[in-house]
Amino acid sequence: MLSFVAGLLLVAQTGAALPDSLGELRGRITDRTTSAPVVAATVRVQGTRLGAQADDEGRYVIARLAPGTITVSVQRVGYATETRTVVVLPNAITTLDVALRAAAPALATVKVSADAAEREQFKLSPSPGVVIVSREVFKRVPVIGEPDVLRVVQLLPGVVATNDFTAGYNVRGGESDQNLVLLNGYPIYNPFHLGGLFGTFIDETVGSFELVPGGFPARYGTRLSSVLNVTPREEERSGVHGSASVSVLASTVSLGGTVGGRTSWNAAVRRTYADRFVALLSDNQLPYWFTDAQTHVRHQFANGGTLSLTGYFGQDVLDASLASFGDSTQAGGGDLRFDWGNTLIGVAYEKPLRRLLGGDSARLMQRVSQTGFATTLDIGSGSLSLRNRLGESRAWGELSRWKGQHETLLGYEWSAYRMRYNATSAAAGTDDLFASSRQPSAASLYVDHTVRTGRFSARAGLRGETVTGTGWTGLSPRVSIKWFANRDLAFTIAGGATSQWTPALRNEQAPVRVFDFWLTSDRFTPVARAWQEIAGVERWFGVSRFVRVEGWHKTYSQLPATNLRDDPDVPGDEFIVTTGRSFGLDVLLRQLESERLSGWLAYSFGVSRRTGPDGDFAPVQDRRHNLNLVASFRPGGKWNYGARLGFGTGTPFTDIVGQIVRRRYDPLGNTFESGSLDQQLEPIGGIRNGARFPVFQRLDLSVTREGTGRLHWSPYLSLINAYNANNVFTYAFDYAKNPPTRTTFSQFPFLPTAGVKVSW
Amino acid sequence: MVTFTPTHLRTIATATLMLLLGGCELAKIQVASPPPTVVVHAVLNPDADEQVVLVEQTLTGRVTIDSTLRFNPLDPIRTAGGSPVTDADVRLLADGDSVGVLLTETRRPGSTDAPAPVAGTGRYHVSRNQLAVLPGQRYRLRIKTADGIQVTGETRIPTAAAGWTPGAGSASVPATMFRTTDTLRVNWNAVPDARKYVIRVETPDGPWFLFSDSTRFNLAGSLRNFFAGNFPSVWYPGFLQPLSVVAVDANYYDYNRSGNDPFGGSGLISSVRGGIGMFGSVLPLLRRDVSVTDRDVSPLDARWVGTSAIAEQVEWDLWVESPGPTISSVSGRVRSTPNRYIVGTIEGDLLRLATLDGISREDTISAFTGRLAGDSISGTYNTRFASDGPRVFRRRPRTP
Repeated sequence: MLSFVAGLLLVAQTGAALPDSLGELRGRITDRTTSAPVVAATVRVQGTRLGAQADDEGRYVIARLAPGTITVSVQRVGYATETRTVVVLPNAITTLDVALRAAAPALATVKVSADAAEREQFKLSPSPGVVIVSREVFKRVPVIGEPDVLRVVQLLPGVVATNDFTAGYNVRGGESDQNLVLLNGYPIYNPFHLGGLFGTFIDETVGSFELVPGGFPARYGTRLSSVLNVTPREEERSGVHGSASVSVLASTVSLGGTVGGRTSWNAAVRRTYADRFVALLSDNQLPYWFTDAQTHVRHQFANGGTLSLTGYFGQDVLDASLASFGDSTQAGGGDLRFDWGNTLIGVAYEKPLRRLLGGDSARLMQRVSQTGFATTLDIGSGSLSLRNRLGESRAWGELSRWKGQHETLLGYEWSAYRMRYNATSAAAGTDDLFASSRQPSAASLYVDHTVRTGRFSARAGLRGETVTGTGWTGLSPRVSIKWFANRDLAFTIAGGATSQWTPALRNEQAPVRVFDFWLTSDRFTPVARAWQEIAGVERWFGVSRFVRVEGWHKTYSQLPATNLRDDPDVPGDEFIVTTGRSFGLDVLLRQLESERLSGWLAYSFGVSRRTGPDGDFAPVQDRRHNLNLVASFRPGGKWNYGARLGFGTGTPFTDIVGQIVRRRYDPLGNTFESGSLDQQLEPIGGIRNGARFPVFQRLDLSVTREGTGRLHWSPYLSLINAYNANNVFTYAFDYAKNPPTRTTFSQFPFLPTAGVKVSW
Repeated sequence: MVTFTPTHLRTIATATLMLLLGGCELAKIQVASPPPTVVVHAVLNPDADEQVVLVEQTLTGRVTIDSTLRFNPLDPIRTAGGSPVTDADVRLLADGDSVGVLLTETRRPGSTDAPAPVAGTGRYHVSRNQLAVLPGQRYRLRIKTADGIQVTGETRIPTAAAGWTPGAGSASVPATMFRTTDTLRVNWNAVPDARKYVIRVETPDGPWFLFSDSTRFNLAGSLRNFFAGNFPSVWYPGFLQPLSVVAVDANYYDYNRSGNDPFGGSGLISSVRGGIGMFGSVLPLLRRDVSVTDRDVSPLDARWVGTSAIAEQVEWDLWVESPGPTISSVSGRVRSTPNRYIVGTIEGDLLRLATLDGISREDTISAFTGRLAGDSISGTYNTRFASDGPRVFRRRPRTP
């Protein structure tokens, strides 16, 4: 692999040298009214094919310009096109900043950055299936408590949420631990609060997110199924701005601003308040709360380079003194402390480069980060303590080079993992009842080469990876080709291999996902592999509406699944190895946010099978048909109406075919008792996932009033499951009765939630 | 090593969340009754006077389980929620034996607590005189039910040290533990072919136990019972609590360390063929009664002398077992009657006590409600038959 990369470098270095007399144009595109960056504005040099697209900060660079006077046009949906004349000097950088004026009053309040990004994605990227959702879009989706990135991800094509009680998701037949979740490029392992009910991302800090459901470029590794990249929001206004919001879930404060025109910053803090509320009104306890804090700071240097810092801290705490409940049945009860949370700190440096290795322009990116997840369960003040710690120190660097129609990307990724699980009992005088520790490192080198012509956009990549302690080294080729039948119709095929060496211990049968216990591959647990093939077509109708249809197929090998019978004395038996196959079809019809009515319709058909030691079965994410209609209606003025209609066929579950009384042997009395005062009945499963829940359906509605002015209030109301559909969450069986019974427990009932935000 | 793997933390986490979520109950419907499976629980114990095999069937809704029956060790299936399999041919076979020793089904007339035509069904036993199982020996279990179903299993009893005899390891003098300050240290001789050791303490809330590889163990007075619902104390002042250590074979260990997942119904490691359950073995290594006491801190911590429900003089030793902000738990013993203990609560000056005829809370024989006022407690008894009182108890100095 190293020689391959070195060879590519050598090829790149043989390119012809640039004439020294060329110049460069760069600048920033902003909104004239708000001074906010206009993302994805198109900057073109008239009379030439040269141009550029403004990035997330509204910045653009056009290299290799012949000296002289040129006319530049700047276009963006929703803005009036601006033209400027500027003189380009040889061997110099010429700066041109343009402030765009909203095109029409009706559209002036519609922010369309994500929409245009979709169009640009269509035009420029051969990646299939990518969905980009901006903050303006996801905050209009009816909310459970408050806007939640992960809840919106669940509504995208190819994504399955097994029930209402989890913010986790499965992508194109993959398991829930196969999704790489990145905050500004840094991984987060368990992005959940409240037992998986809510995502960790504070909506006020999120600028947009991008879901890549397959056909990854070579820059993405470490997971088999999808990449969710959440981009922090960057405040571009001068001074200090912020918002404070209260929902039924939590209260949030966020602040942001710029310093000296080169540094933007924002920070947000959120905490649930139900525990304080209950304590204020009664003598009872609600022993649970969660909090998180997120920050992003970005500084731009005079040389065009940017340095950014991203931080996240989150913690869920269930801290109960059972004896304090004031309930006589709990008298004498012990203490319980159960907490878990993520920490992340990452630093990124990015810098545009000129004429690197014969290219027109280039870009350097280097990220270093420290990500951690920790959980502790302490029962009885040290009588039993179970701890899990996972840390990943990561360095990720990339060098991008553009030359004409060619884009080459060289990168590396290195991660050092530290995983430890231990159980102790201080009261029993034991330091380690159980301990497991792994500290592997993983290194990856990758190269991607993209060619864009009039008809084709094609990318070929190769990712070489190795993981210490596993004896595994692998190559993952990636190919993606998009052919444009015309400017609005394109066909895409893609394929490649992915690898994952961080499997999670998860019980797929459990309908809730509190969090995952992440382990790493070792000599016992193999590195999982998947191959996927994708074929699709995308058709645009104008600049704000498109339909995309993609078929996909995946095969899994060496897929670890939790071994429910693992023996703590046997190292490496935490997993059993399975294989699998998934295939399906995704349809996305999307109306971008430039119209009064916007949203999307996502339909997915999918079939998944897994084969393990117990035979062939359908995994719990095998929802055959899944439909989500998401709509946002803005009739004008301050009101926004949102709706989401979901429909899905039933997911598999294991039918319970009896119960067994677990009897514990008493060696003193030579008798069996049921083990405690409560009779212990354990279910006996039938055919694994041989039954299916009924169809799922849910309608959510919302209305938001978006205030204006320097200090504006924005109240919102959401009605979850508006017509109170009875969706099955799980069943409880009772075979101790004649005849036996099955009790159905529902997912969300009709659930109104409301909140208000004040911004300044 | 003790068996707490990531699976345990995951299970606890999921269970905690399920409790929090609660879920809305939609509907209850009748479902079909699937065919049952034979379930076996059998542990060979060379220390025991008889070997016992329990044969029952999985609950499939074909019979209604009476959950109100009081547990009876001689009728352990019916009185603990099971459905016994009667009239089975149950045999234990020593190594090389093809016929085996036939076990007798325990059949007794129904009692007040277990008013069935026949009690003890599904419990098969053989006395030491008929079959003296020995440490280090291999035994097979063969069961044929009246329906023709055959269930088999095999175990090897852990090997004892030279000179071992039944009852070895029992200490006749109780150990005294001051709960606040003491840590009980126990150790025992290694058994080379033991799969694990089980350390077990009997408590009012059910047994506390752990598997261990070590031959030494410390038990602090602050230890909480994480197997019981609200994590109560393991040690109760006033109680004489048996502590035991046994060596176990792999069948016993695997069955007891595993369990069926509450959602998928799999995960239990069974050691019998043709059914579900365990045929394992243990070798008792140590037994010691622990007399638990504590310092006198609260006004209730004292000896109290009064009269019982049947008007006999009675002495209580009481302690506030675990203080709480509003309600504290209370424990103690009835000094005047062996093996009779007290658990209860005190809220302000309101005292609610239950007298136990044994260690388990299930063995409650009477309840007392009274008020603490200075050096006296006055209140009434409530037995299962009637209320009686008032009774007055006076504080006395606590003497050994």
